[in-house]
Amino acid sequence: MWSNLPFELLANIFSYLSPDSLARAKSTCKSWHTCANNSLSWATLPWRQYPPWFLALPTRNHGHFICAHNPINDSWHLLPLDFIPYPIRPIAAVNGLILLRETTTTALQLAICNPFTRQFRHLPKLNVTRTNPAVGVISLDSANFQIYVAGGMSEASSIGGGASYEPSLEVYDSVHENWKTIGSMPMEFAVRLTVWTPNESVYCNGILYWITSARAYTVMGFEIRNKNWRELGVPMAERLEFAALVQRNGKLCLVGGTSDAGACIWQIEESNNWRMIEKLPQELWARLFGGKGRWGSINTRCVFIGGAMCLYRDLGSGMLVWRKCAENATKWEWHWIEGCGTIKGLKLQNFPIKGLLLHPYLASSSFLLNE
Amino acid sequence: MSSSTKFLTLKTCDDKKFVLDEAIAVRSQTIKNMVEDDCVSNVIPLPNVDSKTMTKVIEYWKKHSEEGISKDMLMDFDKAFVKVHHSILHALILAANFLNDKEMLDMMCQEVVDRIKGKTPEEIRKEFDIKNDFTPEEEEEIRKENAWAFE
Repeated sequence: MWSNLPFELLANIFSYLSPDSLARAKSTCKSWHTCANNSLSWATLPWRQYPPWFLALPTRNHGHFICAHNPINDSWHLLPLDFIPYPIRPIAAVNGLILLRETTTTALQLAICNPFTRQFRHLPKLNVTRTNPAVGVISLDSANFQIYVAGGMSEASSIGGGASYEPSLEVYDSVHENWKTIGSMPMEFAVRLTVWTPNESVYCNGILYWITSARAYTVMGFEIRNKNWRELGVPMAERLEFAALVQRNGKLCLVGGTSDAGACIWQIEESNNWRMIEKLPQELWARLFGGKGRWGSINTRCVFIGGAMCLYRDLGSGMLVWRKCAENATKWEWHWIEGCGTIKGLKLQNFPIKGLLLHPYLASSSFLLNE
Repeated sequence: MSSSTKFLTLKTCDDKKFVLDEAIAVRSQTIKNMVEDDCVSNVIPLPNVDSKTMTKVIEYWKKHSEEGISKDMLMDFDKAFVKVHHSILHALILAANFLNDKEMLDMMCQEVVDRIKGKTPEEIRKEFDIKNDFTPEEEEEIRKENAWAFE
């Protein structure tokens, strides 16, 4: 009876389940399994009613796995990456998938994976071979996305020439599944986007932003439509020990702070001025970097997704999440996530991580089947 | 307000007839469309719904059309209404879907969601009388794929 429920009705029911309940529901019988794996309606919105998961990936060679935090029952899980044949570094989350860089080559080679369905796919080679360019991601809709690659160093020529900056930009589109060169960019931006720019990008109102990781911080933006580059200052740029860009309610925001003065969130106004909109609760902030003295906050990082942002340092110290209140969507509230010390009785050593926020996508993604 | 109440006759698949105030029956988008397209003769056939299910549907429609009923009372009614055997829940979902009553369908689906939540596959099978049609090897494979959900 229930195994013959029309897929459209079953998919509607499934779309209201939290990821862990859905994973168990699809293990009950073949028909439910097929429906859960193939339904496109995952991409529709209702299940975003659940808070996103925090995924921690080791940044150095601390193992080939992900520690994933389920916010609903506040539990940590181990997701092995043994289905990926190479060592990788995470770059960003997009539409429930993870954009990765393969670390077997110094030139940028990108791939996409879904750690929940254990699917993996290489992306085609870039048009221009480059090392350490800035990478930016734009989600076009619930299924499709674009990846922008800007700057980087070109390969040293075989006839004795040294490597040089690559002042150009190219874009990958998941619809056409190919790279397109967009054109050149000012050398000054190419230099600043290379090497020292962390790969966290923020797309906001037609502009793709990156922040330099070297102090004093500056923000660079690329206007997608008219291909202009622009630069923005950063509040307290000289003094901040850490700074990161995030997007909140469709506005570009900046999170930054120092160990002694605390941390704040600023929002950019139409006049291109920054306005402080939130101060981190001092007690939680101190807890995050464990009372380390001056510059103790320097390794703080921040990641965001629609409706939530998360500050973190390493696997063991805990994470600080600011997210939309479930009962009142106009209000945001702070949550503390205990760091991950053990999973299933297995003791984990502490190590630096790259964090991602995402809504687990449990259906097999047609994009990942297409290689 | 119109003084003449129009009645419709609904005929279920087991040939039972239900006479119902049109204002109530048009909670079903399917019936509403038929009425508006003027393709209603005397009797509206509902080939996908049996009389037992239709009785429940009408009970729901009538309660939700009562004048002056309070929100709390409706909530209590709804809560009790969905506490039925899973076979009736199943029939009601199909009926709400065929009759295109989104409010009722959403409520019934939510009940299914609540019955699945937090349960293991074995408990879900028991709840809904679902036969495990995986081979032991397939089941092992699926459990391994989603090991994180079984911890």
